Amino acid sequence: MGGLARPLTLLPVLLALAVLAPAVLNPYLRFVVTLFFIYAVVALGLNLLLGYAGQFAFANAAFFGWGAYATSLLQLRLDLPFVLALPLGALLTAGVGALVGLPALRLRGLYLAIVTLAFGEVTYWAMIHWAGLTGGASGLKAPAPDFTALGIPQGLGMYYLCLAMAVLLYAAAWGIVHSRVGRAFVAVRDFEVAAQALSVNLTRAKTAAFVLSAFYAGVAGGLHSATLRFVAPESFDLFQMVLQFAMVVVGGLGSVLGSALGAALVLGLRESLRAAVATQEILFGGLLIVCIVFLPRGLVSLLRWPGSPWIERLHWEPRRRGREVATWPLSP
Amino acid sequence: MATLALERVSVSFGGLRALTGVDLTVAPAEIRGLIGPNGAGKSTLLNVISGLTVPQEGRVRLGGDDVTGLSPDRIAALGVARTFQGAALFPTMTVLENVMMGRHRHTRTGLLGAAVFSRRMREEERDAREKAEAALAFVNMLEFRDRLGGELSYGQQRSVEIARALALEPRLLLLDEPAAGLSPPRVAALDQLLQRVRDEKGISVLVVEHVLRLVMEISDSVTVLNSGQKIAEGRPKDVCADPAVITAYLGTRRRHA
Repeated sequence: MGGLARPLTLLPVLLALAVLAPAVLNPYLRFVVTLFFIYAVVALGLNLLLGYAGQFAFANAAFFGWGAYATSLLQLRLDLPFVLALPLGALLTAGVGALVGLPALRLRGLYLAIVTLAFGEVTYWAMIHWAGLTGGASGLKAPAPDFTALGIPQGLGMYYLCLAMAVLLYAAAWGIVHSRVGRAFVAVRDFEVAAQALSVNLTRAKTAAFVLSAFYAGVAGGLHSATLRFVAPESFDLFQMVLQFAMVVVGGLGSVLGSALGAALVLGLRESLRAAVATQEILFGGLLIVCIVFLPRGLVSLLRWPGSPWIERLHWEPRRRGREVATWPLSP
Repeated sequence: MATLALERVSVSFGGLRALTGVDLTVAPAEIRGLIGPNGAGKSTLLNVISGLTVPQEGRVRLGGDDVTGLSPDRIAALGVARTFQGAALFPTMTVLENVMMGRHRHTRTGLLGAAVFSRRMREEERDAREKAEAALAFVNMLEFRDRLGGELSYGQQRSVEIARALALEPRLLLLDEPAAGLSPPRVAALDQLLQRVRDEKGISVLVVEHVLRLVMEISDSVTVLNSGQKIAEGRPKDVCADPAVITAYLGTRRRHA
Protein backbone atom coordinates (compact mmCIF):
# COMPACT_ATOMS: atom_id res chain seq x y z
CA MET A 1 0.00 0.00 0.00
CA GLY A 2 2.57 2.51 1.15
CA GLY A 3 0.99 5.63 -0.24
CA LEU A 4 -1.88 7.71 0.97
CA ALA A 5 -4.31 4.87 1.49
CA ARG A 6 -7.71 5.99 2.63
CA PRO A 7 -8.19 4.40 6.00
CA LEU A 8 -11.83 4.00 6.58
CA THR A 9 -14.98 4.00 4.53
CA LEU A 10 -16.88 4.68 7.75
CA LEU A 11 -14.89 7.81 8.51
CA PRO A 12 -17.55 10.32 7.35
CA VAL A 13 -20.19 8.46 9.38
CA LEU A 14 -18.07 8.57 12.54
CA LEU A 15 -17.36 12.26 12.01
CA ALA A 16 -21.05 13.04 11.54
CA LEU A 17 -21.83 11.09 14.72
CA ALA A 18 -19.21 13.06 16.67
CA VAL A 19 -20.60 16.35 15.38
CA LEU A 20 -24.21 15.47 16.19
CA ALA A 21 -23.59 13.62 19.49
CA PRO A 22 -23.83 16.66 21.83
CA ALA A 23 -27.52 16.90 20.95
CA VAL A 24 -28.21 13.68 22.84
CA LEU A 25 -25.39 13.63 25.41
CA ASN A 26 -25.93 14.94 28.91
CA PRO A 27 -23.30 17.46 30.11
CA TYR A 28 -21.33 14.82 32.02
CA LEU A 29 -21.09 12.46 29.06
CA ARG A 30 -20.26 15.37 26.78
CA PHE A 31 -17.44 16.25 29.16
CA VAL A 32 -16.17 12.65 29.10
CA VAL A 33 -16.20 12.57 25.29
CA THR A 34 -14.34 15.90 25.28
CA LEU A 35 -11.73 14.30 27.52
CA PHE A 36 -11.60 11.37 25.12
CA PHE A 37 -10.67 13.72 22.24
CA ILE A 38 -7.90 15.18 24.41
CA TYR A 39 -6.52 11.80 25.45
CA ALA A 40 -6.79 10.49 21.90
CA VAL A 41 -4.39 13.27 20.91
CA VAL A 42 -1.91 12.71 23.72
CA ALA A 43 -1.96 8.93 23.15
CA LEU A 44 -1.31 9.43 19.46
CA GLY A 45 1.72 11.59 20.24
CA LEU A 46 3.10 8.93 22.56
CA ASN A 47 2.43 6.25 19.96
CA LEU A 48 4.42 8.13 17.32
CA LEU A 49 7.38 8.21 19.69
CA LEU A 50 7.08 4.79 21.30
CA GLY A 51 5.26 2.70 18.72
CA TYR A 52 6.72 4.07 15.50
CA ALA A 53 10.10 5.53 16.41
CA GLY A 54 10.66 2.94 19.15
CA GLN A 55 11.99 5.43 21.69
CA PHE A 56 11.36 4.01 25.14
CA ALA A 57 10.60 7.40 26.69
CA PHE A 58 8.34 8.21 29.60
CA ALA A 59 8.25 11.99 29.60
CA ASN A 60 4.84 12.28 27.99
CA ALA A 61 2.89 12.97 31.19
CA ALA A 62 5.32 15.80 31.87
CA PHE A 63 4.87 17.16 28.33
CA PHE A 64 1.12 17.04 28.93
CA GLY A 65 1.70 19.12 32.07
CA TRP A 66 4.00 21.55 30.28
CA GLY A 67 1.26 22.19 27.73
CA ALA A 68 -1.37 22.69 30.42
CA TYR A 69 0.70 25.06 32.56
CA ALA A 70 2.18 26.94 29.60
CA THR A 71 -1.21 27.58 28.02
CA SER A 72 -2.71 28.73 31.32
CA LEU A 73 0.24 30.87 32.41
CA LEU A 74 0.55 32.56 29.02
CA GLN A 75 -3.02 33.71 29.51
CA LEU A 76 -2.72 34.57 33.21
CA ARG A 77 0.68 36.25 33.20
CA LEU A 78 0.97 37.68 29.70
CA ASP A 79 -2.72 38.26 29.06
CA LEU A 80 -2.50 36.40 25.79
CA PRO A 81 -5.81 35.23 24.33
CA PHE A 82 -6.45 31.48 24.30
CA VAL A 83 -6.13 31.26 20.51
CA LEU A 84 -2.50 32.38 20.87
CA ALA A 85 -1.72 30.72 24.20
CA LEU A 86 -2.68 27.23 22.99
CA PRO A 87 -0.37 27.08 19.95
CA LEU A 88 2.43 28.93 21.78
CA GLY A 89 2.15 26.57 24.74
CA ALA A 90 2.29 23.60 22.39
CA LEU A 91 5.33 25.00 20.56
CA LEU A 92 7.07 25.66 23.87
CA THR A 93 6.36 22.06 24.89
CA ALA A 94 7.72 20.87 21.54
CA GLY A 95 10.92 22.79 22.31
CA VAL A 96 11.14 21.06 25.68
CA GLY A 97 10.60 17.80 23.81
CA ALA A 98 13.62 18.52 21.62
CA LEU A 99 15.76 19.00 24.75
CA VAL A 100 14.45 15.83 26.40
CA GLY A 101 15.22 14.02 23.15
CA LEU A 102 18.92 14.87 23.45
CA PRO A 103 19.79 11.96 25.75
CA ALA A 104 17.95 9.65 23.34
CA LEU A 105 20.74 10.27 20.88
CA ARG A 106 23.08 8.38 23.19
CA LEU A 107 20.84 6.19 25.33
CA ARG A 108 18.37 3.53 24.43
CA GLY A 109 16.04 1.05 26.03
CA LEU A 110 15.85 1.06 29.80
CA TYR A 111 18.48 3.78 30.20
CA LEU A 112 16.43 6.19 28.13
CA ALA A 113 13.33 5.15 30.07
CA ILE A 114 15.01 6.04 33.37
CA VAL A 115 16.30 9.42 32.19
CA THR A 116 12.94 10.45 30.76
CA LEU A 117 11.13 9.19 33.85
CA ALA A 118 13.46 11.35 35.93
CA PHE A 119 12.59 14.34 33.76
CA GLY A 120 8.93 13.65 34.48
CA GLU A 121 9.56 13.51 38.22
CA VAL A 122 11.56 16.76 38.18
CA THR A 123 8.76 18.46 36.27
CA TYR A 124 6.24 17.14 38.79
CA TRP A 125 8.40 18.33 41.68
CA ALA A 126 8.70 21.80 40.13
CA MET A 127 4.93 22.02 39.65
CA ILE A 128 4.44 21.39 43.35
CA HIS A 129 7.31 23.43 44.76
CA TRP A 130 7.58 26.41 42.43
CA ALA A 131 4.40 27.70 44.02
CA GLY A 132 5.00 31.33 42.99
CA LEU A 133 4.56 30.37 39.37
CA THR A 134 2.46 27.23 39.39
CA GLY A 135 0.27 27.74 42.43
CA GLY A 136 1.85 24.73 44.09
CA ALA A 137 0.04 21.57 45.01
CA SER A 138 -3.35 23.26 45.00
CA GLY A 139 -2.92 24.26 41.39
CA LEU A 140 -4.17 27.12 39.28
CA LYS A 141 -7.55 28.26 38.14
CA ALA A 142 -7.08 28.11 34.40
CA PRO A 143 -8.78 30.60 32.12
CA ALA A 144 -11.13 29.11 29.58
CA PRO A 145 -11.74 30.35 26.05
CA ASP A 146 -14.82 32.43 25.53
CA PHE A 147 -17.26 31.11 22.97
CA THR A 148 -19.98 33.73 23.52
CA ALA A 149 -19.01 35.48 20.29
CA LEU A 150 -20.03 32.29 18.50
CA GLY A 151 -23.18 32.05 20.53
CA ILE A 152 -22.46 28.63 22.02
CA PRO A 153 -21.98 27.71 25.67
CA GLN A 154 -18.49 27.00 27.02
CA GLY A 155 -18.84 23.23 27.46
CA LEU A 156 -20.20 22.75 23.96
CA GLY A 157 -17.52 25.07 22.58
CA MET A 158 -14.76 23.01 24.19
CA TYR A 159 -16.34 19.83 22.82
CA TYR A 160 -16.14 21.09 19.25
CA LEU A 161 -12.73 22.67 19.70
CA CYS A 162 -11.29 19.41 21.03
CA LEU A 163 -13.00 17.44 18.28
CA ALA A 164 -11.58 19.75 15.63
CA MET A 165 -8.04 19.55 17.07
CA ALA A 166 -8.23 15.77 17.31
CA VAL A 167 -9.38 15.44 13.70
CA LEU A 168 -6.63 17.80 12.52
CA LEU A 169 -3.88 16.09 14.48
CA TYR A 170 -5.02 12.60 13.44
CA ALA A 171 -5.00 13.64 9.80
CA ALA A 172 -1.52 15.11 10.27
CA ALA A 173 -0.25 11.91 11.88
CA TRP A 174 -1.74 9.89 9.04
CA GLY A 175 0.28 11.96 6.59
CA ILE A 176 3.44 11.68 8.65
CA VAL A 177 3.37 7.90 9.11
CA HIS A 178 2.73 7.44 5.40
CA SER A 179 5.62 9.66 4.37
CA ARG A 180 9.38 9.26 4.30
CA VAL A 181 9.44 10.70 7.83
CA GLY A 182 7.23 7.94 9.24
CA ARG A 183 9.14 5.25 7.36
CA ALA A 184 12.38 6.64 8.78
CA PHE A 185 10.88 6.38 12.31
CA VAL A 186 10.09 2.70 11.80
CA ALA A 187 13.48 2.06 10.20
CA VAL A 188 15.26 3.64 13.17
CA ARG A 189 13.16 1.54 15.54
CA ASP A 190 13.80 -1.75 13.74
CA PHE A 191 17.41 -1.41 12.73
CA GLU A 192 19.36 1.79 13.32
CA VAL A 193 22.44 0.73 11.38
CA ALA A 194 20.45 -0.16 8.26
CA ALA A 195 18.48 3.09 8.56
CA GLN A 196 21.73 5.06 8.61
CA ALA A 197 23.07 3.11 5.65
CA LEU A 198 19.98 4.34 3.79
CA SER A 199 20.95 7.95 4.57
CA VAL A 200 18.58 8.43 7.53
CA ASN A 201 20.04 10.95 9.96
CA LEU A 202 19.44 9.36 13.38
CA THR A 203 19.70 12.64 15.26
CA ARG A 204 17.13 14.28 13.05
CA ALA A 205 14.73 11.33 13.08
CA LYS A 206 14.80 10.88 16.86
CA THR A 207 14.54 14.60 17.55
CA ALA A 208 11.60 14.84 15.16
CA ALA A 209 9.83 12.03 17.03
CA PHE A 210 10.37 13.72 20.40
CA VAL A 211 9.28 17.12 19.11
CA LEU A 212 6.20 15.60 17.56
CA SER A 213 5.08 13.72 20.66
CA ALA A 214 5.73 16.75 22.86
CA PHE A 215 3.76 18.97 20.49
CA TYR A 216 0.79 16.60 20.57
CA ALA A 217 0.98 16.38 24.37
CA GLY A 218 1.31 20.19 24.53
CA VAL A 219 -1.86 20.77 22.51
CA ALA A 220 -3.68 18.15 24.57
CA GLY A 221 -2.44 19.73 27.81
CA GLY A 222 -3.66 23.17 26.77
CA LEU A 223 -7.06 21.75 25.87
CA HIS A 224 -7.14 19.80 29.14
CA SER A 225 -6.58 22.92 31.24
CA ALA A 226 -9.25 24.84 29.31
CA THR A 227 -11.75 22.00 29.59
CA LEU A 228 -11.24 21.49 33.33
CA ARG A 229 -10.63 25.21 33.92
CA PHE A 230 -8.11 24.02 36.43
CA VAL A 231 -4.48 22.86 36.41
CA ALA A 232 -2.91 20.87 39.22
CA PRO A 233 0.24 18.76 39.49
CA GLU A 234 -1.67 15.58 40.34
CA SER A 235 -2.97 15.43 36.77
CA PHE A 236 0.59 14.89 35.53
CA ASP A 237 2.05 12.37 37.94
CA LEU A 238 3.36 8.88 37.37
CA PHE A 239 -0.15 7.48 37.22
CA GLN A 240 -0.86 9.77 34.27
CA MET A 241 2.15 8.21 32.54
CA VAL A 242 0.85 4.71 33.30
CA LEU A 243 -2.52 5.75 31.89
CA GLN A 244 -1.03 7.01 28.63
CA PHE A 245 1.24 4.00 28.34
CA ALA A 246 -1.75 1.71 28.88
CA MET A 247 -3.64 3.56 26.14
CA VAL A 248 -1.06 2.96 23.44
CA VAL A 249 -0.30 -0.63 24.47
CA VAL A 250 -3.97 -1.59 24.79
CA GLY A 251 -4.96 0.24 21.62
CA GLY A 252 -2.05 -0.94 19.52
CA LEU A 253 1.54 0.26 19.23
CA GLY A 254 2.48 1.48 15.79
CA SER A 255 -1.08 2.28 14.81
CA VAL A 256 -2.84 5.62 14.36
CA LEU A 257 -6.33 4.31 15.07
CA GLY A 258 -5.06 2.15 17.94
CA SER A 259 -4.16 5.30 19.87
CA ALA A 260 -7.80 6.43 19.79
CA LEU A 261 -9.18 2.97 20.61
CA GLY A 262 -6.85 2.66 23.59
CA ALA A 263 -7.72 6.16 24.80
CA ALA A 264 -11.42 5.30 24.60
CA LEU A 265 -11.12 2.03 26.51
CA VAL A 266 -8.78 3.26 29.24
CA LEU A 267 -10.63 6.53 29.73
CA GLY A 268 -13.96 4.71 29.76
CA LEU A 269 -12.65 2.38 32.45
CA ARG A 270 -11.30 5.25 34.51
CA GLU A 271 -14.59 7.10 34.37
CA SER A 272 -16.68 4.05 35.22
CA LEU A 273 -14.39 3.34 38.19
CA ARG A 274 -14.63 6.87 39.59
CA ALA A 275 -16.43 5.44 42.63
CA ALA A 276 -13.70 2.89 43.32
CA VAL A 277 -10.45 4.76 42.80
CA ALA A 278 -8.48 2.19 44.76
CA THR A 279 -9.25 -0.52 42.22
CA GLN A 280 -8.19 1.59 39.24
CA GLU A 281 -4.50 0.88 39.41
CA ILE A 282 -5.03 -2.83 39.90
CA LEU A 283 -7.42 -2.92 36.99
CA PHE A 284 -5.13 -1.00 34.65
CA GLY A 285 -2.28 -3.28 35.57
CA GLY A 286 -4.48 -6.29 34.88
CA LEU A 287 -5.67 -4.81 31.59
CA LEU A 288 -2.08 -4.29 30.47
CA ILE A 289 -1.14 -7.87 31.30
CA VAL A 290 -4.21 -9.31 29.57
CA CYS A 291 -3.53 -7.22 26.47
CA ILE A 292 0.15 -8.07 26.29
CA VAL A 293 -0.55 -11.79 26.65
CA PHE A 294 -3.71 -12.21 24.59
CA LEU A 295 -3.77 -9.19 22.31
CA PRO A 296 -0.14 -8.16 21.81
CA ARG A 297 -0.94 -6.06 18.77
CA GLY A 298 -3.65 -4.22 20.63
CA LEU A 299 -7.37 -3.65 20.09
CA VAL A 300 -6.73 -2.42 16.58
CA SER A 301 -5.61 -5.89 15.56
CA LEU A 302 -9.21 -7.04 16.02
CA LEU A 303 -10.07 -4.91 12.98
CA ARG A 304 -7.95 -6.93 10.61
CA TRP A 305 -9.91 -9.13 8.28
CA PRO A 306 -10.55 -8.97 4.53
CA GLY A 307 -13.01 -6.19 3.88
CA SER A 308 -12.50 -4.61 7.28
CA PRO A 309 -13.72 -1.02 7.44
CA TRP A 310 -10.32 0.08 8.70
CA ILE A 311 -7.29 -0.27 6.45
CA GLU A 312 -4.08 0.57 8.21
CA ARG A 313 -0.72 -1.11 8.05
CA LEU A 314 0.26 -1.84 11.62
CA HIS A 315 3.89 -1.19 12.31
CA TRP A 316 4.37 -3.45 15.24
CA GLU A 317 5.69 -6.95 15.53
CA PRO A 318 5.38 -8.05 19.16
CA ARG A 319 7.78 -10.97 18.93
CA ARG A 320 10.48 -9.58 16.79
CA ARG A 321 13.46 -11.83 16.72
CA GLY A 322 16.72 -10.37 17.86
CA ARG A 323 18.91 -9.35 14.97
CA GLU A 324 22.49 -10.29 14.84
CA VAL A 325 24.48 -8.22 12.48
CA ALA A 326 28.19 -8.36 12.02
CA THR A 327 28.45 -4.61 12.43
CA TRP A 328 26.58 -4.51 15.71
CA PRO A 329 29.38 -4.59 18.31
CA LEU A 330 31.45 -2.28 16.16
CA SER A 331 28.83 0.36 15.51
CA PRO A 332 29.15 3.61 17.43
CA MET B 1 39.07 8.67 -11.37
CA ALA B 2 38.52 5.75 -9.05
CA THR B 3 35.05 5.43 -7.57
CA LEU B 4 36.59 4.46 -4.27
CA ALA B 5 40.11 4.75 -2.96
CA LEU B 6 41.31 3.56 0.43
CA GLU B 7 44.76 4.81 1.37
CA ARG B 8 46.76 2.94 4.02
CA VAL B 9 43.73 2.33 6.21
CA SER B 10 44.39 0.94 9.68
CA VAL B 11 41.82 0.00 12.30
CA SER B 12 42.35 -1.54 15.68
CA PHE B 13 39.89 -2.46 18.38
CA GLY B 14 41.70 -2.20 21.65
CA GLY B 15 44.84 -4.23 21.10
CA LEU B 16 43.44 -6.11 18.15
CA ARG B 17 44.64 -4.84 14.80
CA ALA B 18 41.75 -5.49 12.41
CA LEU B 19 43.25 -3.73 9.41
CA THR B 20 46.85 -2.70 8.81
CA GLY B 21 47.73 -0.20 6.09
CA VAL B 22 45.26 -1.45 3.50
CA ASP B 23 45.16 0.23 0.08
CA LEU B 24 42.26 -0.47 -2.22
CA THR B 25 40.83 1.21 -5.29
CA VAL B 26 37.62 0.36 -7.09
CA ALA B 27 37.27 1.61 -10.65
CA PRO B 28 33.98 2.84 -12.14
CA ALA B 29 31.67 0.00 -13.24
CA GLU B 30 34.00 -2.62 -11.83
CA ILE B 31 33.11 -5.64 -9.74
CA ARG B 32 35.77 -6.04 -7.11
CA GLY B 33 35.84 -9.17 -5.03
CA LEU B 34 37.13 -9.00 -1.49
CA ILE B 35 38.01 -12.35 -0.03
CA GLY B 36 39.90 -13.79 2.88
CA PRO B 37 39.55 -16.31 5.65
CA ASN B 38 37.45 -15.69 8.76
CA GLY B 39 38.66 -12.72 10.74
CA ALA B 40 40.67 -11.32 7.85
CA GLY B 41 39.08 -7.88 8.28
CA LYS B 42 36.68 -7.97 5.31
CA SER B 43 33.60 -6.75 7.20
CA THR B 44 35.68 -4.15 9.02
CA LEU B 45 36.81 -2.84 5.67
CA LEU B 46 33.20 -2.50 4.50
CA ASN B 47 32.33 -0.75 7.75
CA VAL B 48 35.17 1.71 7.20
CA ILE B 49 33.88 2.53 3.72
CA SER B 50 30.29 2.97 4.89
CA GLY B 51 31.32 5.06 7.88
CA LEU B 52 30.35 2.68 10.67
CA THR B 53 33.97 2.37 11.74
CA VAL B 54 36.33 5.32 11.67
CA PRO B 55 39.90 4.28 10.81
CA GLN B 56 42.70 5.37 13.16
CA GLU B 57 44.96 5.92 10.16
CA GLY B 58 44.48 6.39 6.46
CA ARG B 59 41.95 8.07 4.22
CA VAL B 60 38.79 7.04 2.43
CA ARG B 61 38.08 8.84 -0.83
CA LEU B 62 34.94 8.72 -2.93
CA GLY B 63 35.50 9.97 -6.46
CA GLY B 64 38.32 12.14 -5.14
CA ASP B 65 36.47 13.58 -2.13
CA ASP B 66 37.85 12.74 1.30
CA VAL B 67 35.00 11.17 3.28
CA THR B 68 37.06 9.81 6.19
CA GLY B 69 35.15 10.21 9.44
CA LEU B 70 31.82 11.21 7.92
CA SER B 71 28.76 9.63 9.54
CA PRO B 72 27.16 6.63 7.79
CA ASP B 73 24.11 8.61 6.71
CA ARG B 74 26.28 11.29 5.10
CA ILE B 75 28.25 8.65 3.23
CA ALA B 76 25.03 6.97 2.10
CA ALA B 77 23.80 10.36 0.93
CA LEU B 78 26.96 10.62 -1.18
CA GLY B 79 25.94 7.49 -3.05
CA VAL B 80 27.29 4.49 -1.18
CA ALA B 81 24.72 1.74 -0.65
CA ARG B 82 25.31 -1.47 1.23
CA THR B 83 23.72 -4.69 2.32
CA PHE B 84 24.34 -6.49 5.59
CA GLN B 85 25.20 -10.01 6.60
CA GLY B 86 21.97 -11.81 7.32
CA ALA B 87 18.66 -10.41 6.17
CA ALA B 88 18.29 -6.78 7.13
CA LEU B 89 14.81 -5.89 5.85
CA PHE B 90 12.53 -3.87 8.08
CA PRO B 91 10.12 -6.64 9.11
CA THR B 92 6.93 -4.60 9.60
CA MET B 93 7.25 -2.69 6.35
CA THR B 94 6.04 -4.12 3.08
CA VAL B 95 8.60 -5.05 0.47
CA LEU B 96 7.69 -1.90 -1.45
CA GLU B 97 8.09 0.33 1.62
CA ASN B 98 11.43 -1.30 2.33
CA VAL B 99 12.65 -0.40 -1.13
CA MET B 100 11.13 3.08 -0.84
CA MET B 101 13.51 3.59 2.09
CA GLY B 102 16.20 3.58 -0.57
CA ARG B 103 14.67 6.79 -1.93
CA HIS B 104 15.21 8.61 1.36
CA ARG B 105 18.35 10.22 -0.03
CA HIS B 106 16.43 11.63 -3.00
CA THR B 107 13.46 13.10 -1.11
CA ARG B 108 13.13 16.16 1.12
CA THR B 109 9.65 16.17 2.70
CA GLY B 110 9.81 17.14 6.37
CA LEU B 111 7.44 16.76 9.31
CA LEU B 112 5.32 19.78 8.40
CA GLY B 113 5.06 18.93 4.72
CA ALA B 114 3.98 15.39 5.55
CA ALA B 115 1.48 16.61 8.18
CA VAL B 116 -0.38 18.77 5.65
CA PHE B 117 -0.05 16.30 2.73
CA SER B 118 1.89 18.94 0.82
CA ARG B 119 2.12 18.69 -2.94
CA ARG B 120 5.82 17.91 -2.64
CA MET B 121 5.03 15.05 -0.29
CA ARG B 122 2.51 13.54 -2.70
CA GLU B 123 4.82 13.97 -5.68
CA GLU B 124 7.79 12.51 -3.81
CA GLU B 125 5.70 9.58 -2.64
CA ARG B 126 4.52 8.84 -6.16
CA ASP B 127 8.03 9.14 -7.55
CA ALA B 128 9.52 7.02 -4.76
CA ARG B 129 6.92 4.34 -5.38
CA GLU B 130 7.63 4.26 -9.11
CA LYS B 131 11.38 4.09 -8.62
CA ALA B 132 11.00 1.43 -5.95
CA GLU B 133 8.83 -0.65 -8.25
CA ALA B 134 11.42 -0.32 -10.99
CA ALA B 135 14.13 -1.51 -8.59
CA LEU B 136 11.97 -4.46 -7.54
CA ALA B 137 11.36 -5.34 -11.18
CA PHE B 138 15.12 -5.22 -11.77
CA VAL B 139 15.67 -7.97 -9.20
CA ASN B 140 12.53 -9.87 -10.27
CA MET B 141 10.73 -9.32 -6.97
CA LEU B 142 7.90 -7.02 -8.08
CA GLU B 143 5.24 -9.65 -7.42
CA PHE B 144 6.15 -9.58 -3.70
CA ARG B 145 5.69 -5.83 -3.36
CA ASP B 146 2.82 -5.97 -0.87
CA ARG B 147 4.19 -8.75 1.33
CA LEU B 148 5.78 -7.87 4.64
CA GLY B 149 9.56 -7.85 4.77
CA GLY B 150 9.54 -10.32 7.65
CA GLU B 151 7.40 -12.83 5.72
CA LEU B 152 9.86 -13.50 2.93
CA SER B 153 12.34 -16.33 2.76
CA TYR B 154 15.96 -15.57 3.42
CA GLY B 155 16.90 -15.61 -0.26
CA GLN B 156 13.98 -13.38 -1.20
CA GLN B 157 14.94 -10.92 1.52
CA ARG B 158 18.45 -10.75 0.09
CA SER B 159 17.06 -9.86 -3.34
CA VAL B 160 14.83 -7.14 -1.86
CA GLU B 161 17.76 -5.80 0.10
CA ILE B 162 19.72 -5.42 -3.12
CA ALA B 163 16.72 -3.68 -4.72
CA ARG B 164 16.60 -1.32 -1.75
CA ALA B 165 20.27 -0.52 -2.17
CA LEU B 166 19.78 0.03 -5.92
CA ALA B 167 16.84 2.38 -5.28
CA LEU B 168 19.36 4.66 -3.60
CA GLU B 169 20.98 5.00 -7.06
CA PRO B 170 24.46 4.51 -5.65
CA ARG B 171 27.74 4.92 -7.42
CA LEU B 172 29.20 2.23 -5.21
CA LEU B 173 27.38 -0.85 -3.95
CA LEU B 174 28.87 -2.77 -1.02
CA LEU B 175 27.68 -6.33 -0.54
CA ASP B 176 28.52 -8.22 2.63
CA GLU B 177 28.44 -11.95 1.88
CA PRO B 178 25.45 -11.86 -0.47
CA ALA B 179 25.73 -15.56 -1.34
CA ALA B 180 25.92 -16.89 2.22
CA GLY B 181 23.18 -19.44 2.82
CA LEU B 182 21.80 -19.30 -0.71
CA SER B 183 20.98 -22.38 -2.76
CA PRO B 184 23.11 -22.98 -5.91
CA PRO B 185 20.42 -21.75 -8.36
CA ARG B 186 20.03 -18.59 -6.31
CA VAL B 187 23.78 -18.05 -6.32
CA ALA B 188 23.70 -18.35 -10.11
CA ALA B 189 20.90 -15.77 -10.26
CA LEU B 190 22.92 -13.48 -8.00
CA ASP B 191 25.88 -13.86 -10.39
CA GLN B 192 23.77 -12.60 -13.24
CA LEU B 193 22.16 -9.85 -11.19
CA LEU B 194 25.48 -8.37 -10.11
CA GLN B 195 26.78 -8.42 -13.67
CA ARG B 196 23.61 -6.59 -14.79
CA VAL B 197 24.15 -4.04 -12.02
CA ARG B 198 27.60 -3.37 -13.42
CA ASP B 199 26.77 -3.51 -17.13
CA GLU B 200 23.32 -1.90 -17.24
CA LYS B 201 23.59 0.61 -14.41
CA GLY B 202 27.32 1.24 -14.46
CA ILE B 203 27.58 0.88 -10.68
CA SER B 204 30.83 -0.17 -9.04
CA VAL B 205 30.38 -3.19 -6.81
CA LEU B 206 32.55 -4.29 -3.94
CA VAL B 207 31.54 -7.75 -2.86
CA VAL B 208 32.83 -9.44 0.28
CA GLU B 209 32.43 -13.14 -0.04
CA HIS B 210 33.38 -16.19 1.84
CA VAL B 211 32.31 -18.45 -0.99
CA LEU B 212 35.04 -18.20 -3.59
CA ARG B 213 33.14 -19.49 -6.59
CA LEU B 214 30.86 -16.47 -6.96
CA VAL B 215 33.68 -14.01 -6.58
CA MET B 216 35.95 -15.78 -9.02
CA GLU B 217 33.25 -15.98 -11.68
CA ILE B 218 32.05 -12.40 -11.73
CA SER B 219 34.82 -10.22 -10.35
CA ASP B 220 36.90 -8.08 -12.65
CA SER B 221 39.56 -8.11 -9.98
CA VAL B 222 40.00 -9.61 -6.56
CA THR B 223 41.65 -8.39 -3.38
CA VAL B 224 42.69 -10.89 -0.72
CA LEU B 225 42.97 -9.97 2.94
CA ASN B 226 44.54 -12.04 5.64
CA SER B 227 44.93 -10.97 9.27
CA GLY B 228 44.07 -7.39 8.34
CA GLN B 229 46.63 -7.11 5.57
CA LYS B 230 46.35 -7.21 1.83
CA ILE B 231 48.25 -10.27 0.64
CA ALA B 232 47.27 -10.38 -3.03
CA GLU B 233 45.40 -8.46 -5.68
CA GLY B 234 44.70 -8.96 -9.35
CA ARG B 235 42.67 -10.94 -11.86
CA PRO B 236 40.73 -13.82 -10.28
CA LYS B 237 42.72 -16.64 -11.86
CA ASP B 238 46.07 -15.08 -10.97
CA VAL B 239 44.97 -14.57 -7.39
CA CYS B 240 43.81 -18.17 -7.18
CA ALA B 241 47.23 -19.38 -8.15
CA ASP B 242 49.07 -17.07 -5.76
CA PRO B 243 51.01 -19.13 -3.19
CA ALA B 244 50.34 -16.60 -0.43
CA VAL B 245 46.58 -16.98 -0.99
CA ILE B 246 46.75 -20.74 -0.99
CA THR B 247 48.71 -20.63 2.23
CA ALA B 248 46.22 -18.28 3.84
CA TYR B 249 43.28 -20.49 2.93
CA LEU B 250 44.77 -23.95 3.29
CA GLY B 251 47.69 -23.44 5.62
CA THR B 252 51.16 -24.90 5.04
CA ARG B 253 51.98 -28.54 4.90
CA ARG B 254 53.45 -29.75 8.12
CA ARG B 255 56.29 -32.22 7.90
CA HIS B 256 55.93 -35.32 9.94
CA ALA B 257 58.93 -36.12 11.91
